[in-house]
Amino acid sequence: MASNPLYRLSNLRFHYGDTFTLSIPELEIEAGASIGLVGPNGGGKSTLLKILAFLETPREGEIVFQGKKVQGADSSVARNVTILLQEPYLLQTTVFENVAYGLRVRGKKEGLRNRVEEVLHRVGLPYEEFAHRKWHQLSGGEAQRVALASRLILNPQALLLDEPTASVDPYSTYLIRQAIIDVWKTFRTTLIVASHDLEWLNGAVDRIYKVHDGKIIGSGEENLLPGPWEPCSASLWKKVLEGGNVILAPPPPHRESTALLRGTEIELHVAEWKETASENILPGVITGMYAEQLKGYLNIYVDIGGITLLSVMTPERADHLRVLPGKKIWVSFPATALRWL
Amino acid sequence: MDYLGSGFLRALVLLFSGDPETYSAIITTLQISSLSILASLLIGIPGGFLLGYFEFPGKKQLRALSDTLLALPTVVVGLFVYAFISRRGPLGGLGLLFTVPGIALAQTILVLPIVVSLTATAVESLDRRLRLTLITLGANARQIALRTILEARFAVLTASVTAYGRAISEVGISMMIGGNIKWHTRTITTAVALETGKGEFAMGIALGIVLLALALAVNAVLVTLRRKR
Repeated sequence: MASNPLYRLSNLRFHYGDTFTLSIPELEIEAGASIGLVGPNGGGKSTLLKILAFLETPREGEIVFQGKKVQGADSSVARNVTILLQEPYLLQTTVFENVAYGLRVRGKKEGLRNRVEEVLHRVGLPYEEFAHRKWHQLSGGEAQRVALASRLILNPQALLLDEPTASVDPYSTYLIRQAIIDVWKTFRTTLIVASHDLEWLNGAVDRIYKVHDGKIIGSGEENLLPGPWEPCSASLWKKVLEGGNVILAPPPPHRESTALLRGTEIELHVAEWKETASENILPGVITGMYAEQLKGYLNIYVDIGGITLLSVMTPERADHLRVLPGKKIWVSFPATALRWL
Repeated sequence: MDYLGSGFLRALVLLFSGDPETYSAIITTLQISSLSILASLLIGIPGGFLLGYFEFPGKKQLRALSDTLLALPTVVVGLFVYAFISRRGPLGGLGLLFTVPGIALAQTILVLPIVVSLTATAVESLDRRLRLTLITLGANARQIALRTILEARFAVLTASVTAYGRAISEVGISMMIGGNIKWHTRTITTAVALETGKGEFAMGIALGIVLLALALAVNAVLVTLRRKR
């Protein structure tokens, strides 16, 4: 139990058509937390964000925000939270008016110019150059940053971002990350970011939840291995990777089932490691490394042929292995480490 | 064809000498069209917004009716309004027949469907993300409505200009409701019809030039506003 929860969700169920259901038995988000949501498209990340932004109302369950139960669309509560939706829309006016809009509708007109200038600066858009540009005079990345600035100016208690870096240039991707880390550190704004880009997200937030098939299934160090799986022997099934290597697993419930593999159960070796009971010994290349800010672990990403596995280890172990991005490495894990969802 | 050339020359003389009869028709036309366009925008923009923005039972039928009325014949409106405001009609006591407000009333009925339908279309064709964006920025219902109309402003402006064009160019209503009374309800279009019938081309051409100039001016305003966006 968090000591100071901003959100508390319990027994929440949200139905979308006949097929999709988001189901969250229990979730607490502390004030000032920095959380990422990863998972495949259609898994429920966007729906969860919309519920947290009070844009969608779940059919069942309870949402408590700042200790107060929220029922339906409560605009007094909703104004404390803002969300940057996927593919944001800019009003057909200048950058200045876009950024200032949220304060104007709140009747806060004092020091408007300075505040607009400050948030534009945070997203890397110089005021003199951009404030008077029209909405159609911006690149995709600039438009995304204007949309972010128009949320930052509200100084919300919770800032929710849905795929903020989808379809923007690498420089904007970098600036967006810097801007959100900056506001989180400066204002302790609760940050909840959904992204399919796990590596980017790892550098932007403190803790990651995986959202899959309408459920929150873990705190980020899990790898998801989707099907199809094929029978290999009496007790083992396999998933064929690009390049022909295979991952071995216990028999799945269905051919298309998804397996969960904890990052702590993946070992890395500098050479092919024969003396192990692990059925899975695969060559790979290190594609990225991030330090987890809270727990002090290192997250190592290894591409093993079309799939990137996350391995979690202590800095000492990483130092011993001399892991570096681009380095060839071997990963091993037992088939029994895979658990079916 | 000599009469056309000399008619054109005399038309210029009428215009530049400030011929009172010619200018009376011009001023009457401007009065009527200003009144009718003002009334139709005041009713039509909110009406079109409601029709385009909200979902309610009977919306489709109302929309079909408004679209059908786009092709409303002026003589039908003239007949209908005449029946209502003539001495025997239910609104006969108001004394609107053969007056400028009477013509403006009928013209409002004529152009209202244009404003309503085109505004509704403009609001309907706005980006679906607009509403969610405004909500996420903290706008309340009134602020959302206002911003939605602002986002549709260029299309609404086009609707207004189209409506104004229809109002200044119609002749049926002005003739039937106004009665083409000299110095009083004679408009540009009724004057052109009358003068042409009498074989007097000069005033017809002069007023025709004014009508074209008005259309051009209105269009120029629209183009300028669009360029400034």
